[in-house]
Amino acid sequence: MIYPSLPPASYTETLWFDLERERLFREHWILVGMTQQLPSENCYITREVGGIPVLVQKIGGQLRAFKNACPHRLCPIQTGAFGNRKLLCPYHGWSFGQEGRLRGIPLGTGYNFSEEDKVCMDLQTYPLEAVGDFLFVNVSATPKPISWQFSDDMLLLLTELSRFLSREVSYTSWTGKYNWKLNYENIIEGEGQHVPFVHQTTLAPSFKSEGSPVPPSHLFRPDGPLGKIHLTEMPDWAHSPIPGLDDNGKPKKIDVREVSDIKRRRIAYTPRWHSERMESCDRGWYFACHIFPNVNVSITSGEWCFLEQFSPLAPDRTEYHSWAFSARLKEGVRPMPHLLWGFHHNEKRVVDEDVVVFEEVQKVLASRPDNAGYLGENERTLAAFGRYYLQCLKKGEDYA
Amino acid sequence: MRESLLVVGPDSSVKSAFALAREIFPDRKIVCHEAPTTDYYRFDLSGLSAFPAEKWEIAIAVNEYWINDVRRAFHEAIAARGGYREISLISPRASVSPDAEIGKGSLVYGGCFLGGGCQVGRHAVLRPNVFLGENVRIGNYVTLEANVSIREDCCVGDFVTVCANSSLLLRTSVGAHCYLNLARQYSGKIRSGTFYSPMFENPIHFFGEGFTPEPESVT
Repeated sequence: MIYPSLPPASYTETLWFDLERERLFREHWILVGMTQQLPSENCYITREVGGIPVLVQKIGGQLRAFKNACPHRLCPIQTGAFGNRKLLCPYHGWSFGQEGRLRGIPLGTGYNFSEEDKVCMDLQTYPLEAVGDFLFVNVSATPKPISWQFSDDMLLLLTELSRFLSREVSYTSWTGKYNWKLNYENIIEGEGQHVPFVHQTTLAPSFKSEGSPVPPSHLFRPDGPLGKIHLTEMPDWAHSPIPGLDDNGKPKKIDVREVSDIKRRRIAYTPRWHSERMESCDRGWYFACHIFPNVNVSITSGEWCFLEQFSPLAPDRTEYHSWAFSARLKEGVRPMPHLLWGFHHNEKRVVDEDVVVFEEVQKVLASRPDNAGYLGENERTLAAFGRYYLQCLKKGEDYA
Repeated sequence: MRESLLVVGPDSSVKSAFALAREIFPDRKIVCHEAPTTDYYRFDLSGLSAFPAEKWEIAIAVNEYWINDVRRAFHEAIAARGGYREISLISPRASVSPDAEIGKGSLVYGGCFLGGGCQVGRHAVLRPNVFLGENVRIGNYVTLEANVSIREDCCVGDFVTVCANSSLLLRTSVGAHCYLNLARQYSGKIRSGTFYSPMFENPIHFFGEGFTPEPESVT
């Protein structure tokens, strides 16, 4: 059976890009970072969500999300990607309190604002949800609850993963010349069909299941913290329920919670120098969690964890955000930046192999082909993603 | 001074340190001993039993693996055996100002210049032709690769590696556990846990206990 792919224009045209921003990224909960990046008072991170500059800052011990624009002259309140600085505009020194309320205006008498005038001069706030350590922001004018977007299993999983992951994280970002959807579609591909071809020497060898015997998974054993969540395990990915189809196999309106999923497969395990220093709890398994619309969490052997996000900058430009974690370090083991940097390098080698392909595909898409390819049975997660994507952009009209 | 000098380390950099020791002590009995390692952190020190501490001084060479954390581990493993008196190796071809200070267990290769008032911490490695301007402070377990130039009043934290042919401009501050692995000029304040790598468009930043972003001035 052939499943339809998305229209090529959705990867290349500004019109589609603008619609994505408005109807997808501004209407869903979008990951903006991790609590580990905001450990103390006045720590902040800045991001763009659907083209809107967003500031997340710890103030009064609470994490809060604001529009990163001073109401006075629209200068960003914080200009770095992260840091520790009071909520104060660098342009004219306007300062803001815990709730984003305008607190002080230097040389205030000169402006001659009345108290009534100042009512509209607070920072715009946005809903922020911390699911474990994962921080999501929603910039919609009418935000839906996060449970609308993510299933109970997904929320439980992110919460439990946060308990399992190290408190240390390393973070970086880079840009690529391709549409963000190519990245996400690559990640959610049903059986990792590209791995033996694109990642012959990097990822593919570890996808074999031979290796050292592994202990029972702490996370996923039946009485473990995630023992009861719904996930699909290789080789059964291709036989899992088809999102967006009714019992008769007819397309139905897709529930957004169906397009995020959780997968796990057996892989080879060989202990490394760092293995004995951490509380690994899923040795011998590769675990991936695809979080709609643009996030992937993967854990290799319960030891290395990557969180990756593909943010659109333009129809043909993607900003790749990358976080690396380890499992929790054992008591007495000191933080090891070098360990996470080693993980980051390993991951970047794999990502670079994908990027070569994405950038070539982007060139072909730019040539305005009739369609963006054909999807088979084992790629129906891509098809479901595409259907929900179009459902969003068409504002509820169905797509079959 | 004990009669003999043992130059020991877990990797091939011990050979360069051995050559440096011979340059410094041409008439002394010096032995080069590579302590095998099965991974970065497991050292087989059984061979040291042939070199009793009461007869041998020791100089230690470990390259910059894992921003010098392996060097820390190796030094601690040697210290845990007790007894050895560790020395620094400073090339006679290095120019060291009389009031510069070099911590115990450091290696300073030929062609280095250490200006007045410099302070170099313990277990640092300054490879050939490193230039330190006046009043530069270098932390413990630091590696400055060949031809690194660090201008006056710079400060470099513990466990930092600066790659070859790089320079730190005047009064640059580099936090601890940084790996500046792009050959370029660095300036300003580089926070602890920053990694510049040729593989990455932007630096990698480490967050965790002891790596909290420091408050910026808003005045």
